[in-house]
Amino acid sequence: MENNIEVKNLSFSYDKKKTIIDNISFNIEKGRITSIIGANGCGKSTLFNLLSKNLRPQSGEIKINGTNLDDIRLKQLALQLAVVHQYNTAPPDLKVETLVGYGRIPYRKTFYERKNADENEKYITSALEFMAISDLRKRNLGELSGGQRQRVWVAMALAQNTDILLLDEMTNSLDIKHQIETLRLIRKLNEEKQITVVMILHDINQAIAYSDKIIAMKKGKIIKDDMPQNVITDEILKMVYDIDLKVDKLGEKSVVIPV
Amino acid sequence: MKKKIFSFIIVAFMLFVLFFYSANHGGIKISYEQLFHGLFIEYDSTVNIIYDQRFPRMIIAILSGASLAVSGVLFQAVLKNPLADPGIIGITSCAECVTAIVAALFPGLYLFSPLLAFSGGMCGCVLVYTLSYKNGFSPLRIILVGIAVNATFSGLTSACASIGGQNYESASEMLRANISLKTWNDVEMLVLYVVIGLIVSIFIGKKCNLLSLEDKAIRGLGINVTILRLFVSIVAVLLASINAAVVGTVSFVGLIVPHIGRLLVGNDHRILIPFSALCGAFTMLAADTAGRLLWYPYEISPAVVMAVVGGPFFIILLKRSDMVSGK
Repeated sequence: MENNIEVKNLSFSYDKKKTIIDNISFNIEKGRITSIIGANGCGKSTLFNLLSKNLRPQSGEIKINGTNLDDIRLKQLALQLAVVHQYNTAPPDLKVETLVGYGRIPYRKTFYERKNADENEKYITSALEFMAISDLRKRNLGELSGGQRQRVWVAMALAQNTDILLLDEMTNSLDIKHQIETLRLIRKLNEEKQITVVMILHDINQAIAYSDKIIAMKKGKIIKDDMPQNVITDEILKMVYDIDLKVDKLGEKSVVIPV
Repeated sequence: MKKKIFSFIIVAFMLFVLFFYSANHGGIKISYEQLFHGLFIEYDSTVNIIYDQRFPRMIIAILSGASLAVSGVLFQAVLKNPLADPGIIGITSCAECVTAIVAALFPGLYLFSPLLAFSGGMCGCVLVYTLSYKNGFSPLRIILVGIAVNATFSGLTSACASIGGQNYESASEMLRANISLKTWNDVEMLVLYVVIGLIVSIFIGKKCNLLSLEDKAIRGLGINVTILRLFVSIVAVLLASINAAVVGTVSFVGLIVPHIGRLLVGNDHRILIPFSALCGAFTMLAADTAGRLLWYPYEISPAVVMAVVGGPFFIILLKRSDMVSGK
């Protein structure tokens, strides 16, 4: 099985006192959906910032598609990996199509290049279609609901046309309907376009339902990195979240009752 | 789109009218025909006095207003803070302080004052950025640090003015932003830098638009945010400090004008930047004309007019931004 991301002995800390990422190693397999779960402050988001070159590792190695991340320039990385961060801001009078069009910036040789307008247009249209927001294309961002806006950000990442997609807690502020719709779209994206997806999720049941693999983290370390049914057990959840949770079976799938 | 074009036309028209009104009113009053006749057809001593004494200050007001407003837009984009203004965050006072110190110690370096002001402005910029950066720019911290930097350096400039002996005049005039005695030489010094600065600003509008996204999102598109921010800052500092060197401190133009611009033409910097230039030119010329005519023969500096009008405006903006963030 090919790996899109290989991480070896990665460590990171903001200051000497507290280690945020503590010597972790894992691989992200091509064409799979991997979810990262863990308590607040366990280093999930920091890990994403390291993978997207927003932070520099203290030690250890990250490889994206076989090349060391240090040797990949920001612009080349943007052609291989797209991230949707947890918090996003944009001016309320920005048009949806303009924002999605920003996803094509990495493909320009110079900032003002106007070549390849047709190709850019094609990717923008298909990203909008895929996220089912074609009708919002000419609208301003400020007029949209939270769920619609979240889709626009994913569409921008799709316009980058990368084979890896990182999603940081994108369902957090959405209601249950929009959460499920977004996750289904992610699943469809993975199946139809063979995009490798790594997402940070808080809802354990959604992680079970929508991922091929789950990485459970605690205090900067990986507790377990395996198939959902092997990760979501009473003992591991107790270790990760410090709370007793009951794991049940619903047919084949495990179910956690979060009360 | 219609509203945007309409706003452009209205402001351009208002600037045009104000220009001729301002040229014809003051100590010497002449008719429009006489002005036109004297300027383009044959020599007229009255028109010549106006040409030598009133035109330079009007053009300086226009250039300075345009550049201050654009500098404000750029700082607001870089710092992601609608309350940033080169005067309020202390860039202008740093530029001025360096110019004043050098003018007091080495009067011969007068010709280099734009460059000196620019280096002073860059120092101020680095100072404010490094002191207020902590996991991103917090809007409040920038303003607080800016106030401290501003107070320190305008204090130093005042001290310079007091101990500067024969060069006392230049430093204190800078503090008062007195443009009543400006000549065509001052216009020449200002025009080159301002035109370069404004042209570059118009071209970086697209980049400024990107800066309104989160830093992480910009980096995700393969763009080095630090370099982008540095570049835009340099242009903003250039525009602010050339003003400091030639005109002096004028606060609030860079704050009020972009704000009105956003209300009228929106947040797209490709339109906002040229519009702010136009609107800033109008505002500053209006402030100068009002200061000149209101209590004739006494003159009020445009900086004082802007401070009196701008202070309350700033408070209104502060209150409004509180309501927007809901905290």
